[in-house]
Amino acid sequence: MSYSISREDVAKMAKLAELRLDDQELESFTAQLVQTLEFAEDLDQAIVDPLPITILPLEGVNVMRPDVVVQPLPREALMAAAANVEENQFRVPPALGES
Amino acid sequence: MDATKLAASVRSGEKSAAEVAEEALARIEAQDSTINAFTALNGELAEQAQAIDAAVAAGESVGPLAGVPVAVKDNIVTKGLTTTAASRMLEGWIPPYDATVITALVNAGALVIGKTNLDEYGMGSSTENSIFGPTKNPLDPTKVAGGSSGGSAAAVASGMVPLALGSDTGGSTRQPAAFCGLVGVKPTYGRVSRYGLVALASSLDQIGPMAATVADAALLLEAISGHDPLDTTSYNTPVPAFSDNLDEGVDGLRIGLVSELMGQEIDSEIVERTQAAAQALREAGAQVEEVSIPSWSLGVSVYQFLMSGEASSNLARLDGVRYGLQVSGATSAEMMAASRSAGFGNEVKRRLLLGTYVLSAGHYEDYYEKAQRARTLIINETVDAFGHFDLLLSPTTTSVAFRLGEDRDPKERYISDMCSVPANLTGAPAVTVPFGRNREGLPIGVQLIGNSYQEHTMLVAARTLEATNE
Repeated sequence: MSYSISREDVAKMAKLAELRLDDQELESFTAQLVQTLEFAEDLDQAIVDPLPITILPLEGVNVMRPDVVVQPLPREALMAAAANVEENQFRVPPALGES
Repeated sequence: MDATKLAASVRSGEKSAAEVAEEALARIEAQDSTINAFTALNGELAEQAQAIDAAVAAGESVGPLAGVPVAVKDNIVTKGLTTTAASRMLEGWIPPYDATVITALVNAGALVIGKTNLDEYGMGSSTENSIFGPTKNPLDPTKVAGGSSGGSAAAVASGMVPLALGSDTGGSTRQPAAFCGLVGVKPTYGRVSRYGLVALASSLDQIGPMAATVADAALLLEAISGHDPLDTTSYNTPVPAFSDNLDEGVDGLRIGLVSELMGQEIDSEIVERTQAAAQALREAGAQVEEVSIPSWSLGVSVYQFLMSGEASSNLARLDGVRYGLQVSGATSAEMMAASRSAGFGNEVKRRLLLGTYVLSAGHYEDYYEKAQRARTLIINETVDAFGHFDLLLSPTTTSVAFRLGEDRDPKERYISDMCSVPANLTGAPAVTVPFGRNREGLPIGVQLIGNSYQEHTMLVAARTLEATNE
């Protein structure tokens, strides 16, 4: 199997990743990603038997913490870091419309 | 003075924390305009030092790191002190909370003196991809300090501070430590809380200590380790006294020298020093034999796909709404794209594109899922190896510190992570310890990898190597 990526694919990924790229960036990132994706060939050669996936290197950890109320961070302190706040809410441009 | 002695002198009242802080700030003032290790300094340091001195005077317990200045990588959040991850996106961001490791440092009596430079979000191995400009290697300012925790490494190697925290996703505490002649630790995954670490790849990231000696690194590791309810992946197990009995020796330990990491990709002088380390451990009573772990040669490939996939998901939170840079746009989508495009550097964009691709429908099975299966293979073979050995030995890096501004293509740069990524993929703890220099006088590090949660055994062997150099 051949592992590669086209300029059109990179443009699509940029849209999904919320990034704007100019022509020169598209060209350069495509060339770099083509090189990196070749790493997948090594994996094909190595994986001969079916294997389960690993998500985390830890096993058997109970991720539940005690159900105890804790003090959350103060709202004002959290809102203070936002660029645009109105009436104690984050203000953003319209979510609907052409992008 | 090393951290262990410094803390003892503050506890005994022989030296005040205020004096220690002033001296450290004076060293930073004198040296950092050349080295560029720090991104910000703690404006409340004097008050915090005075509080420790008052506690000492009142006969109160002040902790194992009393009055010791610690530099903190600028991707670890600090309440009231800027945390930027060296990114335009977070420039000037002042977090409203502390990372758990910062709380642990304060509880141990340490002084968080300031924040240190890194490759943006930890993406790089030279501390050149930073809005603050590159950090220089204090041992040779024409060379990189390594990365991504290059600022932390340079801060300790220059003597500005005795201790620093880095973070390690694929070698980012160990590689800069090796480049700067220091000890750097990647703890077992889950040993140290990641709460408050700006996430790069959540299944690989760990915060770790950097110090001039094994004893100092062990002391810092002890202070930051332990279960944290705020990090669901932190392991709930007692923290051993890592700094006790470091000189107990390696007699009878079985140590495997990993043959996959001794090949032609590694600088020949580094291979020689690693062989010399194997011999030194044999002479100290360990049984050292070669071991082959074939899947470790896949480490870099697996790492690329997992790290970039996880990074693309983690960095999606940086949308310009709740914190960070916001560039105006007619719609929310335009605002987010404009903010992220202006806020991220090229290396970050490249990894986000790769990560989005390997996670996208139609490509997921070919890349991300395949890498997750190969990760299982690497873990299985590593578990098998630890059935025969207590520790594994290898070089830490493929090269010594390289020139600032050196043009290296991405693939070449990734291959340079081949010695360090297996510990992140398997979750195993690893330490680099300086073991000689090359003909140019640049330090060479060798790496010891322990079985999960066996950091003490690993540190004892590192201390044995350190002692043979003394």
